[in-house]
Amino acid sequence: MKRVLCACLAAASLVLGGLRLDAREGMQLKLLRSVYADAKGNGFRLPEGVACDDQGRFIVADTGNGRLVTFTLRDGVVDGGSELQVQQLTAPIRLQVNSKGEIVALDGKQRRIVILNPDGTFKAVLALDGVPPPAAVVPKAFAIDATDAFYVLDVFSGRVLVTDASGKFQRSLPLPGDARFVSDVAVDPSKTVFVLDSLGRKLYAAARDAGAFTPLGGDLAEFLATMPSFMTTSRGVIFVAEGPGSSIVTFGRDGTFLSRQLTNGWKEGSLDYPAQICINSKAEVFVADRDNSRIQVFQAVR
Amino acid sequence: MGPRVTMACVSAVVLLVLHPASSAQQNPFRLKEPDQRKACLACHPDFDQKLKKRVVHTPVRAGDCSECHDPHVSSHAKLLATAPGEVCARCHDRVIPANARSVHKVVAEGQCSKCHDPHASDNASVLLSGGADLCFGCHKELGAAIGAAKFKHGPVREDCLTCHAPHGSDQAASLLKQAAPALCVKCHRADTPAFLARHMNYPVARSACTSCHDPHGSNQPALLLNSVHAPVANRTCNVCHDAPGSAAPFATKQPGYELCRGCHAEMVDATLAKGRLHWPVADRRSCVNCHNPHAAKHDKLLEANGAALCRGCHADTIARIAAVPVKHEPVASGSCIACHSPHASTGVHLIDQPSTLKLCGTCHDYAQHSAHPIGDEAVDPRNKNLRVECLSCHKGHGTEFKWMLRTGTTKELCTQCHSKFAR
Repeated sequence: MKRVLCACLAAASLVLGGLRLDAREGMQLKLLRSVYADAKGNGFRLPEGVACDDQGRFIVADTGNGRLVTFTLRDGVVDGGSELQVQQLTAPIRLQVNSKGEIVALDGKQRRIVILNPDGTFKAVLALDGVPPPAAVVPKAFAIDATDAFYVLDVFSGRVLVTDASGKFQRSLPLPGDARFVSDVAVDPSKTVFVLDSLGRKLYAAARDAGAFTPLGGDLAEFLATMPSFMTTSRGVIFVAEGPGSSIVTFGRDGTFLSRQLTNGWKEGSLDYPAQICINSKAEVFVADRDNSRIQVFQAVR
Repeated sequence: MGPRVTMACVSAVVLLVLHPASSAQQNPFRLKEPDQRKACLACHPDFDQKLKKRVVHTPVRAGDCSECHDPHVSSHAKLLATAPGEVCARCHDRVIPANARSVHKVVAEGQCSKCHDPHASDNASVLLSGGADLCFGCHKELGAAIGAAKFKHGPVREDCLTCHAPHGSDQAASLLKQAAPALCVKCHRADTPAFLARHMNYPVARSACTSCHDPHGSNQPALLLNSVHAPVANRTCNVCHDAPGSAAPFATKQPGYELCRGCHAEMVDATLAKGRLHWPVADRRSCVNCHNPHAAKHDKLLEANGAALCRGCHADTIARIAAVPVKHEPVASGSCIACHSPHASTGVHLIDQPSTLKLCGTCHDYAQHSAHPIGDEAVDPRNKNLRVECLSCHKGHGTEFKWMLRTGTTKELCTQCHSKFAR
C-alpha cells in the first residue's frame, strides 16, 4: 500500500510539475541551488553545457576544465559530483542525455559529437552516414528527440541534418534564407524542429514532416535586448538564453513572448552570460551560468 | 452684448457692402508703392546685384517677395512665411519621388538652402556652386579621397549628378539614378571584346561592379578598390570560380572556408585549431562575412574598418558602448581587435590570452596601478571559482562611472567583497 501511495504521490508531483511549467502566464524562476564544484571541491571553470534527466541526474559540461561532472538533485539536495574525464572530449560545450541514459556531448574545439555510456565512459564519436555533400560538417549545436534521432545544426552548409540514433542520414532542412546567423536548434516531443536566429532575433519552426522552416512570432527584437545564443524547449515553452543580457526569455510554441527572467550579476540567482539550459519533468531548470563559473538550478513556478 | 452695439455692427457691415469703392480708397494699409518689388528693394538695395545674376528664382524675378516672406511678422528667421523647407515645398512638392529608395538627408530635413540660393545664382537650378564642388562642400572626406586618388572616374571630375539624383531616388540606394550594373553599363559597354577580355570572359555585366571597382576613384588601375585580392589582380578568377563558360561561372570551387583554405591553409588551420571559434568563420559565407573576396577599400580586404565592421552583427554592443560616457580608449577609437581576436581564441569573448589579467597587462602595468591582490592566487570572495582580476572592478568597454568602475562609489564597489565594512 505504501508503495502504491508513493507512486501516486510521485505521479501527482510530476503532473503538478508539468502544470507549473505549462501555466505560462506568471511563470517565474525561483532559485533552488547554485553548484560550484565537484565532490572534491574542484571548482568549475566557465561551464557552457548542462544536461538533465527525469531521474534527478544532471551533468555539467565544465568547459574550461575540459571535463564533465555528474550530480543528482533529489528533494532539493544536490549529491554526487563525480568527474568524468574523457580523452576524446576536450571542450564540451553542449550536452544532452538520450533515452538510454547515454551522455551526448558537442566538442567545441574538435567540432564533433561524442557519445558516452551512461557510466561516463567513451562510447563513440557520432559518424554521420550518407549526408549529402559537402563532406565538411561544422556542428554548432545539436538536439536529440525521444527516439534518439539527432538534429545537427551544420553552420558550414546552413542546414539542420536529421539522422537516426546511429547517425544515418534521414533528411536535411535548409536554414531559412533570411536568417542572419542561426546559433541553436531544439526539438520538441512532436518532432517540431526550432532554430534560433541570433542576429536576426527570430525563431523559426519546421513541423515533423515539413521541408522548410517558417518564422515564429515575427521579429523578436523587442523582447530580446541582446544577442541570444542558446535555446531549448519544454512542454510548449521555448527557453532562450540571452548572453550579454544575462536573462532567460521564454516564448510560447507559436513564438508569443511569455516572460523575461533574471538579470546580470554575481549574486546567486543572477546570471553572467548564461549558456545551455535544461528542464526536467519536475520543472527544475538548470542553467550553465558561464561567466560566474557555476550551475544554477531554478524551480519554474507560477 | 447690448442692442446698441449690435446695431452699430450691422450698420458698419451694411456700409461696407454698399460702398466698397469708397472703403478701398480710404484703406490706410495700402502700399505707397504699388510695385511690391520696388517697395522691398527700397530698403534692400543689395538685391539689385542679385537680380543681375544669370538664374533668378521665379518669384523673385516676378517681384513677388511675399510668396516666401511675410512682410510684417513671422515665427521664422528672415520673415519666412513658414519653416524653410515648407516654404519651398509649397511650390516644389515633388522633388522627392514617391516610393523613394534613398533620400538626400538635407532634402528630408528641408534644408534646401544648403544647395540652392533662394533668390538668384549664376548656376543652373539656382545652385550655390556648380559641379562637384557643391557636393564636396559637405562630403569633404569623399572629396579629399577623390582628390588624392591617382585614378579618378571621369564623371566624378565633372558632375556627381551623372550618377546620382540630388534629391532622392526611387531606383537605388545612395541616391543612384540606377543600381549597378545597370547604371554602369549605360556608359561601359559590357559586350565588347576588350571589356570581356579584361574580365576573363566572365559575364560580369550581371554582377555588382562595385564589388571590385571604386566608382569615384582609386590608386589602382581600372579603378579597382585599393586593397585587391591577389587572384583578382592577377586575373586568375578561375582559382576560386568555375570556368567562365560553365553553367554557373560565379559558383565557387569549394564551399565556405574550404575555398580560402586552398591558399590560406596555415591561417585557416590555426583558426580551426583554437578552442573557441568566432562562429561566422565557419558558416556558409565564412570569411566573406567580413572580407571582400575581390577588392576592398580597407586593408586585409575588410568590408569596413574597426567597429564599423563589427557593428554589422554586434550593433547592440556598439550601441551600449556609445551610451556610456567613460569608454576604454581602444573602444572609443573603434579598435575592437585590440582585445578581441576576430577569428578564434583560447578564451571566452574571443580573448586570445590565458586570462583577462594577461590581456590587460599587454597595455597596463598593474604594479604601477594598485597593491590590491590580483591574479590566479587571489580568490574572489564573492565566488570561489572566480579570481580577482581587472574586470572584477572595471568593465572592459566602459561604464557611466570614472575609471570604468562597475559602481558609482568605491565604497559600493569594495564592500561587495569586503562585506564586513558595509553599513
